[in-house]
Amino acid sequence: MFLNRIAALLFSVTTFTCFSQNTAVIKDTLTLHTLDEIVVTATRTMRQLSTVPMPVILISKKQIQNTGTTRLKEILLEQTGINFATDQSGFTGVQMQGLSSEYVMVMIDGVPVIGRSSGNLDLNRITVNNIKQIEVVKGPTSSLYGSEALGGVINIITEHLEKDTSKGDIRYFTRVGSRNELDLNTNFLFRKDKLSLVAGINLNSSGGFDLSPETVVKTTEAYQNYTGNLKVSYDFSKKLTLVASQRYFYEEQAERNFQRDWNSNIELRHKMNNIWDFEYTFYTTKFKTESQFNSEVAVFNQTLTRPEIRATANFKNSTVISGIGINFDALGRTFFGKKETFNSKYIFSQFDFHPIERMNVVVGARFDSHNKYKSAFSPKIASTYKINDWIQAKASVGYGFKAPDFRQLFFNFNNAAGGYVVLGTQTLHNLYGSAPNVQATSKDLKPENAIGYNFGLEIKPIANLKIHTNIFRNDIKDLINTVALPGGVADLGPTTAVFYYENRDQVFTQGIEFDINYKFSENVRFTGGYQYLEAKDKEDIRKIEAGTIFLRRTPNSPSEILKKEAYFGLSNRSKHTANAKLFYTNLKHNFSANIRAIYRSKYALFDTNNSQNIIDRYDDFVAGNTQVNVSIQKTFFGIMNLQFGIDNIGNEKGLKNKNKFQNTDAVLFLGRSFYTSVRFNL
Amino acid sequence: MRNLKSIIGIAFIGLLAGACNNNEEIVLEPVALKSVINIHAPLTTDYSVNPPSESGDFTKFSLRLGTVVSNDLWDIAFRGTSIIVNGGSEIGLTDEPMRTGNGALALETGTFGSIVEAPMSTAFKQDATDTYALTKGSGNGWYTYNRQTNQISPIAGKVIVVKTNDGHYAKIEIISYYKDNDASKAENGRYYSFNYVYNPNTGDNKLE
Repeated sequence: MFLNRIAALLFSVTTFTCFSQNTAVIKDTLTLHTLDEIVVTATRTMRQLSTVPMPVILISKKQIQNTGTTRLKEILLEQTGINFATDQSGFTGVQMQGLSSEYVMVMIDGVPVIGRSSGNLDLNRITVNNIKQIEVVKGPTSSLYGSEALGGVINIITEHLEKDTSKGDIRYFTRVGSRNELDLNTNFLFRKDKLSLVAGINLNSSGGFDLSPETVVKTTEAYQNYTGNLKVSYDFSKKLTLVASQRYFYEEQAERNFQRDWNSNIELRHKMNNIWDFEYTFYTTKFKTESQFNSEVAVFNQTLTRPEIRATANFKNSTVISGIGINFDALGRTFFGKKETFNSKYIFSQFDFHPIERMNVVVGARFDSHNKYKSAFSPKIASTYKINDWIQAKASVGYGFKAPDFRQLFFNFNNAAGGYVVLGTQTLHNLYGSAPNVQATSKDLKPENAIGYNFGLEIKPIANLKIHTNIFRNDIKDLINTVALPGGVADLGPTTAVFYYENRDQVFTQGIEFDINYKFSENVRFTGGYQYLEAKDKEDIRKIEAGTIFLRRTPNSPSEILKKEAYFGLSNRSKHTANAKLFYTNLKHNFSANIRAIYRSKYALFDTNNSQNIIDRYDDFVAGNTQVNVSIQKTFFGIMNLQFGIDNIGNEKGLKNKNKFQNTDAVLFLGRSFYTSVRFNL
Repeated sequence: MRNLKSIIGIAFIGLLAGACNNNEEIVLEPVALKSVINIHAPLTTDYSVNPPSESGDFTKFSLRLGTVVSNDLWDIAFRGTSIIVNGGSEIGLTDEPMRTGNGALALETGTFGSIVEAPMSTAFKQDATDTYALTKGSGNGWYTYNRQTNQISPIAGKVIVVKTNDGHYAKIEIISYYKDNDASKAENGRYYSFNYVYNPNTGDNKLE
């Protein structure tokens, strides 16, 4: 407690000077890094975790290593309020505050990862090797990051060296049991004087697995992938630093699906004087897949290029950060007529100040102007107020948006056998714009947009106990849905169903989350988290209130009216999710162990009782489930670390869901698996 | 002849009075809930042409008899997910039966029990050139089609009120599109099971 306060004091003294100045100050920053938890994502400035006025989760390297995880998805799954959902397209993505993957931006060092499948970003693509920490900001963050940051952002912070170093490690990880996996890492970290180098290679492979051997299709086909990353930074002077980061990922699956993604971020940091810092970044990323299905090759090739300039002004009691940039986004894809491009210019600014000593206010806004859809303005205000020595209140309100994606505008997908076509709005109007029923639809899509409210308390009643609560509400409107075009299109015949995209739905998500962190002793620490969530569709509620929705309790029962109290909410949302983790560390013997339990209550996949896609309590649900993971590790001679772990020790496979959802692997879980890893620190 | 007319006239007035007074002399036949299962409604689809063409005989159903019929005294007929009514004119489909009656249908929203009488005549529609009395397509009429499971499900709360070819009223709630209500196999498709209430009293719009 006392220590924390000292750290806070130290921090507030150094925070506004740490960017510039001289070596002495840089040293201070270093001690702070080790003393307390510094995050950068929520405000784009370095902040101590507990002072940030938005709900933030920080996952440290230590936690990543202790839990024996290899991919980003696995470690996120164990955090409060973060779930993974497989939607009807069959792709899996992250879910935060009840918002699905397409509304969560995933970044590496502050620049976005691209390449989504039906809005879902595959987080198994990202290795946790060479990560310093992961920062998760919940709630709309579009005021800083623009489109996609509607529900929040996940930012992976890679290793960064500030003092002379020369070290490396090699890790060999194998998993057997319900799935096999091999994960090899090697990292090299070096800094001497002005030059710093962080390099890593990761190889990850698996023979795949099949949760339903009775079906033809395997759940996950065998794959192998490689990730290489290299970050070079050079200090031209105390005021000028150049950082160049490269990452390359290649995956081959089942000898017919290939995926490559590559990103390069070049950043020039210029500390002009005590007040002004300038950062010039040039980011390019490319994501390409080739997948073979029924002897046809489908190609998806997306690129994003983003020059951005940011200026930070550090005043005595406030910080101003402003930025300007352009996104050049392009996608060439099978099912598109031609390669399509987007470009959007944006400008943002944020003012961070202390109107009174106990209070910190962060006000920001961003304007995105786009060539293919309507512009978006995203303001946000957040503040903290220190009620007393041990209670701090945090509140924030912000706008978030998600731009229509390429698919929603340019898709041209014809499933002749299935008797339907899916057309982006622009494609629909370009091809069939003369038809009256097409003219009745909107050609322009609006960005999906939301207002998010977060109110939290951070309580430290005693020195070794921290409690954090947060109440949230997100009101999202203009959600883009696939809608059937009434009457179809004459050219395609009356029997072909025509689907297109339209801004239609209004939904809300709300809930409360609790986090508790209790240190029993120097050796034993407990953390627990819980989230209660409601996610509902406003139009569905109106229909239910009007008494126009009916259901059948069993497939053969007569219809009955769906009553409001029987309405469950959106698919793939669990009302209750919880995690409990116990960590034991024995410093004397370099030994540590942990047990972690993750619970998720029942959730629906889709409407199963013909109530117009509305999920009610009589629908079929995926049963609630708990997964328990354990891991132990010991370091020998200071250089060799041995780890052994069991994931899903209770062998929870979700078999009881099998009868309700046939041929749906998403309702089944991987059974027990065992892993060992050995790491040499050199 | 004059006598006969007056007799009919008197009888008619008596009938009206009887109906109004709920006179026991006029015995209305009871309106009963019935159900039929596994009415096969096959369909042939030719995917070699674009758009695919549909053909095959419609399965004609008489609500009075409660069975499939092969004559012209049918009320509604099924082929795949298409439902046509014996009233109006031909839509223009291959293998489409002639309309010989003056039937019509109305798609009502409510529980089966809550539809206690036929709606006003304006709600009823007949087949016409290029127009189905019961709109086709997922979510437009009586069913939804799930693209993931490829299943056809009757929308809950949709009741088809039918005016039969000879002017009786009936209501239908489709329960299943699959043989023995087993939707797990695609080949079970195109078998209708439905509950219906048929009012055997001509022109009486009561449906319970």
